[in-house]
Amino acid sequence: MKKKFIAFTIAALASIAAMAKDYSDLIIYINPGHGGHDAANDRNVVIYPYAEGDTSGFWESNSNMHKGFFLRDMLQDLGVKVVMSRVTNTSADDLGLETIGRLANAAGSDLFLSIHSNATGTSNRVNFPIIFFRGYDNEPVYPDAKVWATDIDVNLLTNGATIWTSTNTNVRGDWSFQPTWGTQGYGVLRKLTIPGALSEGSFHDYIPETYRLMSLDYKWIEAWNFRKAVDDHYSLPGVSYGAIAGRLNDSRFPRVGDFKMIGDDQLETVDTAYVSLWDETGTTKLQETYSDMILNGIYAFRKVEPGKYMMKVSGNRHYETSTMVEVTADEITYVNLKLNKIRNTAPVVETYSPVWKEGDPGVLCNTPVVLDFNWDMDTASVEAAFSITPEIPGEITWENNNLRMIFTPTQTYQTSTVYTARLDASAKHAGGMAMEAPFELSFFTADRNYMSIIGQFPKDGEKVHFDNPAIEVRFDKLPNVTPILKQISIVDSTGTKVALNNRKMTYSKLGAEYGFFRIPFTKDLTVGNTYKMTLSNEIADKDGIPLQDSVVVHFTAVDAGTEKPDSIIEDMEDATLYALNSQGSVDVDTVSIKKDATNKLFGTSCVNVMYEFPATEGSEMLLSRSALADAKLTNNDAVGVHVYGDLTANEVYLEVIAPEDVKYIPVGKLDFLGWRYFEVPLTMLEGEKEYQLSGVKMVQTPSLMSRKGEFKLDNISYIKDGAVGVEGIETMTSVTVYPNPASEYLIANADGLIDKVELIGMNGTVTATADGNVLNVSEIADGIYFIRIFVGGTSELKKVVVKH
Amino acid sequence: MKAKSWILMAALSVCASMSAADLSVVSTEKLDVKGYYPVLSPDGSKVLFTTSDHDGLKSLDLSSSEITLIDNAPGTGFDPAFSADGKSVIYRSIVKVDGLIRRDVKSYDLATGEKVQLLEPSRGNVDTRQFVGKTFAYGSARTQAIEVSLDGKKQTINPIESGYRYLWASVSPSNSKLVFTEVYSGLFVSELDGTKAKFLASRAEFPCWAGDNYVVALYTEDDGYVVTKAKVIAVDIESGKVIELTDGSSIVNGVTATKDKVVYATEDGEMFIMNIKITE
Repeated sequence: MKKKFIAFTIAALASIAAMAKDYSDLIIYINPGHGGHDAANDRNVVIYPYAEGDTSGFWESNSNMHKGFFLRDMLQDLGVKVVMSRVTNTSADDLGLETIGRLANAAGSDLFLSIHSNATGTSNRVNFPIIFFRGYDNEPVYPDAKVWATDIDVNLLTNGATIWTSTNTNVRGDWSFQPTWGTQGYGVLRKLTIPGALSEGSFHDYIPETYRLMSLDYKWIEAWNFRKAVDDHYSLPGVSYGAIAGRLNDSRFPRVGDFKMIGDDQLETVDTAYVSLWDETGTTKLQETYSDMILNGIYAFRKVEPGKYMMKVSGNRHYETSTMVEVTADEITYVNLKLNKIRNTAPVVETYSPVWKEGDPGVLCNTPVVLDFNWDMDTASVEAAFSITPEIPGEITWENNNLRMIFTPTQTYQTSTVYTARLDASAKHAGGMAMEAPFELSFFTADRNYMSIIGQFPKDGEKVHFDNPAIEVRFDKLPNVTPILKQISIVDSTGTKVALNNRKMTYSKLGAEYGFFRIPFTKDLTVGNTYKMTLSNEIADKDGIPLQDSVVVHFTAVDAGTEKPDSIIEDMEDATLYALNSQGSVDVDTVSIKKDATNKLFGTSCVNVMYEFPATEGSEMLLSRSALADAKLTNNDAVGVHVYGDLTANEVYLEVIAPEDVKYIPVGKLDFLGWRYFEVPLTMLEGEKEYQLSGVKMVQTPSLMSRKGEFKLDNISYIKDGAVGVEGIETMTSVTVYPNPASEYLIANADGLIDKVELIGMNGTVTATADGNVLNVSEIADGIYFIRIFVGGTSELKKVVVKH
Repeated sequence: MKAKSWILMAALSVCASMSAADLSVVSTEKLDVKGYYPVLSPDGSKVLFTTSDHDGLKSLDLSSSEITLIDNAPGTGFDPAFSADGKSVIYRSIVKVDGLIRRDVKSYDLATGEKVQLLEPSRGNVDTRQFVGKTFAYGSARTQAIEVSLDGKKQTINPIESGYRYLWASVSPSNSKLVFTEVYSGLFVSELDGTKAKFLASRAEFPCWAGDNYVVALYTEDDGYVVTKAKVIAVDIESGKVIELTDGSSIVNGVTATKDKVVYATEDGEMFIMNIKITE
């Protein structure tokens, strides 16, 4: 092998030093690759309008042969002797590889060229030439073959009528390119005793290129570049004339097709356009041609004397344009033009949205205004002509090559309001013609322009049990949860981001009574640490209606299981002790009381209660104990209850019984998630009596989300004499109530905004409520009550006396 | 040189014993020498071979396994021929003059090793067969016909109407028939003047005579880039019956024959000698 390299290197050097003197010395062998329209040995790419297998469509054998013909003719015009392996396209002339090589050798050829085009064989689409020679990349069998291949590559890359995805040199040894074939390489190169190259001129599975390869002019361009490679290889002078070629595209309209398009291939091609070549002054027409008709826009003037010319192009649907072209000898001057479509009527709005008429429901308060025009529009004049009243800020975008204008409000419309969008007649299409009349559309907006939060956990200031925590937000509509993780931020007190486990996110499905998402934290929280959660006002429902404002919540991690009062009343280890008391319940559809060993707080298990009510209000559910608990409770005591909330806001009470008396001790609202400890003074119990725990009661809070839920109970304890000094059990020390006793009004004060107050009788029922911090007690019977003050998502009980 | 390793290939080869005048495979032997494009001497005693790129030319004596280097120049392994008496080898080499390829023709005396230049480097088509003796045939790219010489009497024939690309023309051992390939039409046998041309097979490469009644050739298929199937076949020139001598399990890329031997090489450069028997 080495000897041959040396021998041929010397030969190659000799060839550089003393090249062929003229074309008539040369013998070139051209092998148009493949043949016969045979799927096993040919390549068919199905493109509109040709059916699969239609021999008029794209077949690589056709394309290769046409290039070969053009190259043969060009070379023969210069006096070169050319031999072709085939001049028809049948299976009979698709010769064996040995035969092709032998014919090339027998013809006494100086150079061999096998003409092909390429395909990726994958879904990837690219377009660039690759030229192969026999051997390894840096160890060609015939060094002159690599020079020849490089000459071809350099010239093919000058093609300015195509879109190359790479203009890098791609000259490869077939042994390196196909390493699994060993040193067999491409069969047609193997048989040669002369320098040969196999040209994969472009990628015929890049569909815009497939269409170009249907153009004879385009194949002529490739042949011209092959001919130039011969010139370069032998330092021949070339031809005395030049050529003009290029591609015609629409200036704006996108190309239609479900295939990859790169760069200007994304624009519609201008086919069968009339292209004329005039003298420099534009007075005398010299040549004329048409761009190809097969969706490629390719045209060429194949023989033009060097000089300056005016070229004019017009299409049936495009304005004429002209450009000056300078032609030099032996070069193709590439002129790719983008033509403006003829727009000979005034622009009008053809369709629009929203379409609304009297009696229709209001449109969503974030609905964009969309105008579809008959022409591609001059965006500046349209945007200047557009207005909407009442005024609302928004952004204008354009689609479909400026055939569609979209006004998107950057805030929601006012509810139940008539809006009028107007386009003044000064709006023009891209050809500069203005509308003949202004355009208006009106629509009436819906009665909802923001999504509402109807429940959330945690709320500002709340305590969150550290173990297995989660956040949950409930809305009046189904939220769009796709971007939700980007719309929530949780940081600890140092500002470090706290991660949520998106894989375990649950959320409302279509048809749900309300919207929600629940996302567990990735890790447990750190007891004692404070956190900040921010819900972006970009959180929106599935219609895109957003929250009105962002929500910022601070919360603290606690361990609800550390507070263990003196004595256990009920350890909640035995769920079978409890059953639904139908007589004490109202409208309960289903209830399930089960032992839960997974989420217990103490011992081995807790009691899990799943329930469902028929409606969103009016239900009560009493779960009675099969026997009274042993512990005796008096009004000097307090009870501690561990409850696992379900965010329904339904209220939980303990039922206690004394001889001839039943009391319902309010524990708290289930407006939270996870475990929480409640400590309740029993001052509502009658003095001198001893009570025993007999059951647990739930009272439904009217709400979309109160119809069904699942809560848990663990240890219920009592604190002997715990009610002595009620203030001692309160945690919101900033809350005060006065006067006490009261006769007309009870007034509550706190550091935060008081949402509402409730007056609760000693039997646990709510006697009166008021929004804000003032409660009128003028009509309330004398007695001892508890007042529950709601501040920032939490509540606190205070003992008060009403006395007239 | 290692001793020849014999491999019985009869099971892989298709026996032709079913026919009346039949060709059958007696045995197949794998040669320990690697090479490509083998050419058997008329008496079957020697094989010329080269590399996959026709790089150099060597001769293997099948009796002694002795290998003789004839030339190591590039291209010398392409289409060499034995002289009619089998004593010398006619071959070409390639040189570049003023950037253009020229081919010369040399003879190599197998007994003395003497090289004689028969033709100075020339442009165009030069076929080695026109130097083998007084009787020969070859397809000419220049005349687009077959050049035939019988005891020095030359004629140019074009046996196939509209045919113009002839390859692998050769005269039968008894100088009675002509076999040739017209590349677009197929493999044919004819009278020596080209008359009575009879189609034998399509896509048949390297046709050569195995006695006067059989032509051995290589049937190939390809996908446009590489050969995908290649089998050695023998064609009965009278009946046209085609016998597959190899089963296609390996790709063959060159074959040569005499009346009792077939030598072929695979894509990997393995060379095999197949002993055949022709029953009249």
